[in-house]
Amino acid sequence: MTEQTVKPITIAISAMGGQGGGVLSNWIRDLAETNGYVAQSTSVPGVAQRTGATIYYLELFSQAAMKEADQEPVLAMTPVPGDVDVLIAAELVEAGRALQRGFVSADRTTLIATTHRSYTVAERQEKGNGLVDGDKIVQIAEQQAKRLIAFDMNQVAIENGSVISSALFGALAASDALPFNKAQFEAAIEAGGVAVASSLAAFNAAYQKGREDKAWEQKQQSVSKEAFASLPAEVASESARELLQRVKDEIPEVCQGLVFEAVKQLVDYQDPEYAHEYLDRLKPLISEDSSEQEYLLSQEVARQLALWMAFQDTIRVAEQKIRADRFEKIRREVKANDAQMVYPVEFLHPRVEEICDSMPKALGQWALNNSFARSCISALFSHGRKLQSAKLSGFLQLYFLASMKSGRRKTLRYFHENNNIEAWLERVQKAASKDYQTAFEIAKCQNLIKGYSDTHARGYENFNAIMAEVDTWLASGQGSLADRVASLNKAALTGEDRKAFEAELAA
Amino acid sequence: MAERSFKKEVQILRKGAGEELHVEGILGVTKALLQSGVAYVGGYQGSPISHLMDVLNDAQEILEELDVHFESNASEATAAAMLAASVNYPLRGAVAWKSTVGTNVASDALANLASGGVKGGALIVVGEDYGEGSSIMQERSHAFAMKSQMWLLDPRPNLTSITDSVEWGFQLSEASSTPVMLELRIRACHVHGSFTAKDNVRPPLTVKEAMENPERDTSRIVLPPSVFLHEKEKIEDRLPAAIDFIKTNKLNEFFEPRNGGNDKLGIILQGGLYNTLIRALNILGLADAFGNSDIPLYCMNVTYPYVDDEIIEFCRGKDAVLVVEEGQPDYIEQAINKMLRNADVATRLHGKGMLPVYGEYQGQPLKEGVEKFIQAEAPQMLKAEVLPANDAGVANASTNDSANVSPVVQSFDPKAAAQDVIAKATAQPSAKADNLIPLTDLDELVPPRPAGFCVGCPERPIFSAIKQLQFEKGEFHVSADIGCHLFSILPPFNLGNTTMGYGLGGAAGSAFNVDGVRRTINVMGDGGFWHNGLTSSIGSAVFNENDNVFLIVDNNYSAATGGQDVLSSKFYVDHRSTQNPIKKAVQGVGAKWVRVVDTYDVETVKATFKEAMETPIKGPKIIIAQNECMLNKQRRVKPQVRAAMKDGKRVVRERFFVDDETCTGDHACIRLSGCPSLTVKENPNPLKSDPVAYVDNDCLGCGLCGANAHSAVLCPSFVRAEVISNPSKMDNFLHGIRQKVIGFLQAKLQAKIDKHAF
Repeated sequence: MTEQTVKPITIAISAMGGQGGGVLSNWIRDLAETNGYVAQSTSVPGVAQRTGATIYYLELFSQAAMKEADQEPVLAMTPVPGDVDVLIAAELVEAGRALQRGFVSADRTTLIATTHRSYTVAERQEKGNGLVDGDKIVQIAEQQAKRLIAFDMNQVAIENGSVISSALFGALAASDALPFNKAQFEAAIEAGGVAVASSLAAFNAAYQKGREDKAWEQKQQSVSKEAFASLPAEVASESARELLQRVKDEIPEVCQGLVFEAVKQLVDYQDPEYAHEYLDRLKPLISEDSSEQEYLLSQEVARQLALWMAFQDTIRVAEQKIRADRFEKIRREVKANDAQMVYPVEFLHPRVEEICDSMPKALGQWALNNSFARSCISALFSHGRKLQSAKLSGFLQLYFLASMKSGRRKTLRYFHENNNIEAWLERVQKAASKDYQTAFEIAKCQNLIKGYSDTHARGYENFNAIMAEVDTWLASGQGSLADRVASLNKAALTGEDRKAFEAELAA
Repeated sequence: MAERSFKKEVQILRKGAGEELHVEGILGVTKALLQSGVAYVGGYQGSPISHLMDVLNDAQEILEELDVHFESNASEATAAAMLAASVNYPLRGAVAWKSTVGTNVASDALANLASGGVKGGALIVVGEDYGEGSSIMQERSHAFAMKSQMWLLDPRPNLTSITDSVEWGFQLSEASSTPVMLELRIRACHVHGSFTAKDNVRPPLTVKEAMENPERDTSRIVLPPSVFLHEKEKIEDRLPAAIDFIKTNKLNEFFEPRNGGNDKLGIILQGGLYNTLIRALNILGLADAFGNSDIPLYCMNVTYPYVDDEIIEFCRGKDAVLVVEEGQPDYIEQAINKMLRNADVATRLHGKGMLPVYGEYQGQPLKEGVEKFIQAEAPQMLKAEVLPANDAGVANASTNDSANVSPVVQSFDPKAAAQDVIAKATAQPSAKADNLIPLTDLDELVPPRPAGFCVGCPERPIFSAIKQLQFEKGEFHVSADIGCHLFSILPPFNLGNTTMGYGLGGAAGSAFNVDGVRRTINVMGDGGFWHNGLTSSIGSAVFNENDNVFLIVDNNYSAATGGQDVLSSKFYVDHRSTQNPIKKAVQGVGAKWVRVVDTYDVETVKATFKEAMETPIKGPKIIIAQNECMLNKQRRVKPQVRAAMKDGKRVVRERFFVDDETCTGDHACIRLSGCPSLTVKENPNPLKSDPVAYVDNDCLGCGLCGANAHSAVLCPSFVRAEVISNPSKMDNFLHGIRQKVIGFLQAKLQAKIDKHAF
């Protein structure tokens, strides 16, 4: 019908407040107005926008068509589902939101979406992994859009010392969705007159990427269990060689990569003997496990046991903080150049418990239970400390703490953790002979013990509560306890307080 | 110092007749005010008209050239009262605010103003904060126009119509001695388009001249017996005068149908909805892109008063008319029904029966409503390809029609509508119907993203502290207020029970003025405090010996509305008196227990709240938590730092860092912060699956992460990196020594590790 022949070009920008969507719409408007179009843009500023999801909307109308009709067009203020020509998403979930609202239709919408994530509070505040599956959003985008250009435009912007709006503008140019050529796009940036050089650099980089025939780039999958390197043929030291040999001899193929990684981490954490101890602990489980089960239980135990054995005590923390590569990492992370100096200030707040934990067992227990000693220590550590780890006094304190590593096996903390590890392994083993799945779930529960101080204590509380149920089941339970343990584990990781967990416990 | 500077843009206010201006709606309105010879302007900021105040502020120079007085009013009530200058003198005055909240605050003064009437044109620009992007309760300014007999303009949302309406708004006001409200919807305020300028006009009478030649007329004062006269005037003189002016100047527009159109039908609409309606008709194939429609339109650019005979004329001889009226109650539809009934016109009247009863009228709901209307009244008008998808629509429409009112209260669900549209779109051959991912999956994939505290916001630490204190003392009743601090109600803080209005945080908690195990916390920002909180919240609490805790967030600006200055702003501001401390003010009204804390010092903030909760001292415990809005601070400080670095001065930049090996991924830190730059990343350890905390490069080094790590005893992963640029000789000397010693010891450690290297 004639209405459909003379139409404005409709462009919606789905972004977060403060992302520079305004700059982008200004560029698009100037681009249109200087090249034979009238342009109208709308937005929703104000507090309603602070860091929240928001939509900028533009309509472009050909001046030629206006002349021909000798009339002014009537341009709309908001996008209508099914009536959007170009959807630009400045963050991946915002692309999802636009899809959800119907602003992307297969018959006409060109979707330009960055694949980078800016995680919402809802995702970040979870105790475990609360992140949504971004790749699936990209898949849906590909399925819904007439044409999709998707890649990490934020990365492109950063690499070129610019902000995402320039990269989005470049991808828009690459899409040919607008009746303007590259030079005209660049002219709009120059006319803007702000940070022209860096903006153009990001624009061009994004333009090139957008031109690559690949429809979209699969984001790098998060490191998954299968992602372990295969065993090396040769290793540097004698002690390492022994360990490698044991892994080759004692560990089934499917688990070798994982176990070797664990072994390396434990040597780094303590010493080769400690890694041997780890392998000794795995042995009985593996012998009872089988390839029909794809050694799932063994893998889970191998992973959880390694993590548990490398518990984060004060000694470990101190060691992590004084290593050379760590200072380098900080320099890289804060983008310091060679002329700049970087001084880390560590925020540490050990409580009485942590102090006593790192004492020899007997002394530690005495100090914990002796009210006088206890009050003396808590007086000393009542306030948090700011330690200058790259200045002498700070570094030496940490260095001293780290050098207690050789005595770790004598500490109170080691005593506790070791007992709990043994008990847990025994449960897993017993359960394995009763119900494989339950054993698997019990193994997983180690993930509840994390964090420091109160968080750590609460984790242990939940873990112990679950183990109590496990023990009664082991003693007299029938059938499988797998589902029960799994749901308790999940509940323990939901919400901030123990409400969800206690509810599940009572259920 | 406002969040956004218009210093450059305001220069266009100087442009003269015939020049084409490409500007934002707000800037257009400002220009139109100067073109109409306005003598004084004022108002109170608040989205969507904050920028109007910012523009005026940045335009001081130009205003002075024209002898136009600009006042940054303390509140909407102040602004409305200021219009009293137009009662005795032929001075054109204009004020602006966020509506309906601002109009609520202003209504006392407005009612008095409307009663006595005005000699000079009085224009009130109300930013109708309704629908998507709104931050307030959903109501209509329309009711205020009706109750006080003021006129309400709702022009078509293009810059020419908007700027014209300012001009004839003043004329209408003067012709009918009545204040006039100009309603602009959110996106209309920020629509970027173009219009042709006129020359600015110096006010024929300036405020100064009026002041120097006082005139008074007791009959204009709101006091018996005049008040009875006023009511009579409203009905017998002002209303007819207004209607006459509207008719003779054709302020409302009739759009005849194009060739082949159907003049048996009609649509009556609010001017502000014109563009959206045309787009809806266009999508249905009932209008072209230029607004030429198959259906005649009556466009109400003045939505109050109603011009009965225009409406009756439009409806007479038509089978059916659709009223497109946004929001509720449906005042206009009700009025039209009465008109037609009285005039004995049989035309069927549709409205809320086919359109959503409440909610913003965006394109989709209008399209669906009009479609129902056509399906019910003239289905043959709908193009073939539109029909099949809407069989459901027919059914509903006809049932609605027989009842002639909607059977159930209905609203528009954008999601549902969207799914419908997507379904059609995916039915395209382009997508393979099989192995399609169902779109409902998006419900899990798209978490909500409400507005929240900015990176490094100085208000965040206060709520971290309160939340930590709750772990100790149990949950508090928190009476919240309007302002950025209201974001405390969202995760991760989840603090706040009610919000009763700007500056009323304290007032809203006053019922709880009794002894209890835990005192309540009553929040207020500096914006709300100076708006009216000093009296309504603090003064009242002192007078009633309220024993609870009162938090005043002092970030140097009215931050939520865009960083406008307030009495207590820390810096010197041209034309205004700032640097008047809140502490003095509350002590001035008799507050005894007053503490001033640095928001980023979480330990102290927590301790201060604890003390306030426990102290035996009677009367309100007032905690003034101070620190500058980061948005404004960055704008202020960044250039200075850049300059210092250039000049080779020693500069220390701070930002935070998380040791990804030490972090165990429990995210306790995030649950006490929610800062956008304290986020997460994949765990570098292949054995671990939970993401670890990560501080991205937007970090401003505000210090909250460290303060929380200490006060909440979180974990040893947090590090503040101090980056020294242009280090001094001393720096270099010490650095050298440190590197030597530390390097040596690190080498020793490495040697140990290498013994067992893999």
